[in-house]
Amino acid sequence: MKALRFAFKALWSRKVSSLFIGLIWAMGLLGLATTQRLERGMEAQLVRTLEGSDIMLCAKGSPTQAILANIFHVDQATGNIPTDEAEKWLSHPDILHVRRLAYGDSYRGSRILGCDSATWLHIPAFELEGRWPEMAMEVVVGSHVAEKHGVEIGDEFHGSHGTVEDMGDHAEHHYHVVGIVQSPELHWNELVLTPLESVWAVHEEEARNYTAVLARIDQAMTRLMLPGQIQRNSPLMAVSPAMEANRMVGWMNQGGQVIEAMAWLLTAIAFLSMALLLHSHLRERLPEYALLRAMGGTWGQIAALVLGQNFVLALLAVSLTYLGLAMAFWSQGAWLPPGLLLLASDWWNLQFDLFWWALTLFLALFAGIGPWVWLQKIPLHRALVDH
Amino acid sequence: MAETSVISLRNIKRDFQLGAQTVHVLKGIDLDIQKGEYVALMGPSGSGKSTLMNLLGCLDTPTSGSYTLAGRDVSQMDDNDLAAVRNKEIGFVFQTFNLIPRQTAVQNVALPLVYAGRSKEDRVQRAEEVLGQVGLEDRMDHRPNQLSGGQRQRVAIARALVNHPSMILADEPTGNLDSTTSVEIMKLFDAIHASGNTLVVVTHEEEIAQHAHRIIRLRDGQIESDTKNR
Repeated sequence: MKALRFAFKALWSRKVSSLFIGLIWAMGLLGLATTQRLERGMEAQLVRTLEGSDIMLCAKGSPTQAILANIFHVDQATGNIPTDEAEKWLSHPDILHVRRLAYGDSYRGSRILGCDSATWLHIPAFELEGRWPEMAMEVVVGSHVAEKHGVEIGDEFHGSHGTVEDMGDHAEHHYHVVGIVQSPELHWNELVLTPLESVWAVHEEEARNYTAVLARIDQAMTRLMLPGQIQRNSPLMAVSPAMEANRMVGWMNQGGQVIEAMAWLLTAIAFLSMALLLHSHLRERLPEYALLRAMGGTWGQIAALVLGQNFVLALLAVSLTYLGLAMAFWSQGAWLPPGLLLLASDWWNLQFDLFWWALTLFLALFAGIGPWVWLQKIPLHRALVDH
Repeated sequence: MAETSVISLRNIKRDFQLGAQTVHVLKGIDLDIQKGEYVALMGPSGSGKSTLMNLLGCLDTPTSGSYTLAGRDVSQMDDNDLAAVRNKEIGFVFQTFNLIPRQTAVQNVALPLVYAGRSKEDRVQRAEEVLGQVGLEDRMDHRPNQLSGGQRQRVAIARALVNHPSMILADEPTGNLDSTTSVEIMKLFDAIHASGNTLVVVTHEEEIAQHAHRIIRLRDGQIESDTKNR
């Protein structure tokens, strides 16, 4: 404790440079810890989100866009598909648990998702206040949408076409709120769910369309073969969400690698700065350390004082890193799409932090070695008169 | 070696390597200092006076020869054993005081007791007691920059006394003080000696050396003279 107090006082006497090193180091660690969390958390999140979606039928276009729109609900859909064309394939014996989606409108920026009951019953661990829709124009609102716009059961509202601002083009079609749903899978809380028939009614479509159909495929071989077969023999696009998601994770990982490289660079800068700071501190206070030796301090006791400073810096960096992680987690809604929002259990799984804790301790120790060796090489009697 | 010798040096040599050249600074010193003696170590620049002081203070080790301090051969000890010897047996007084600027007088004086493993309460009590002995009872919580040169040296002397060492080693203790303050400090040394402490003062000032009861003069790495002063 004495050594830590001494170290703290020594750093306090150079607070600006100490804080600067702590910040640089924390930024490096934050980069490493965040990319590690995002890789792990988003992969886990993808697995959860894609659960039960072995195949997606939608209009031809960009598969990535289709995934983002129909699974993560963050992009424009690739188009619509005729229901009868889709239904032809859905009668395949290996296709199970079909969920049909039809996009149309939005309510104050939140997407209104036309879907069948299989879709809303697919929402993981949901808590429903009120009831599910039983007829067209009834809606269940995601808890975040309800909270954001003060929507309550019994309220009525009209949507605006697509995801554009309300131009009053659907003002004559009123949705009735019959429930509010909340799920730990946060992207569901950002939607307004309504039966498919609502979307068709609002758009007064003669030929009914789906935006997409998601389904589970029972047999592994069918999972491999069916998408190609549909692509070749129909105007539909059949996508394996897992494969597309893997590709997306690959892109994200490339971005992560850039962040990681920058994080390593910052860590290296912090390491060098720490070594230089300690060295300049030792030069400045050489006679004091020599005095402690003259008064009977062993090398071990002096080492505790010297290296203690690096450990206090490490502690500062780790504390700032966790502060940064807490802020990043708290603000993730602002920089992550709803479908990729991470759960607290993924973000705060500290077991995975052991790597950078060990790295931090190692760097603190390692940055002290050079100055420490330098200190030991100076003859004590010379250091005592080095004023 | 007499039974009461605090210091016993036998054929002490100290060489330094200067590039390819070996410089023989001490060329075989034999010296005994008895318990309670007051010794002045003198010599011109380059005589080996500082090197001998460093060896006496266990701040350096000899190239060859034996050094017994308070009955223990310290010439072959490793760094940490020497640190323990310095803590227990030697009280240092330096020309530049060597006080820690951020610490109070009490904290500075108590420093050797930290490494002696004494409790905080014990350390403070003993440090206050010794500061009282050197006339600084009203300056205990002052930092070095709040003290005059003479007061700083008194704090350093109190620190040297705090652990009841076998010997007090003072290196040019008045070198940074004006003449009036120097007289006061030397009076304090006289009093410390009178209370039974062994004192070795390294100085180049004849006037200071005259306070000692024995004057050892070095020249060219050897003892030139060793005389009783009173």
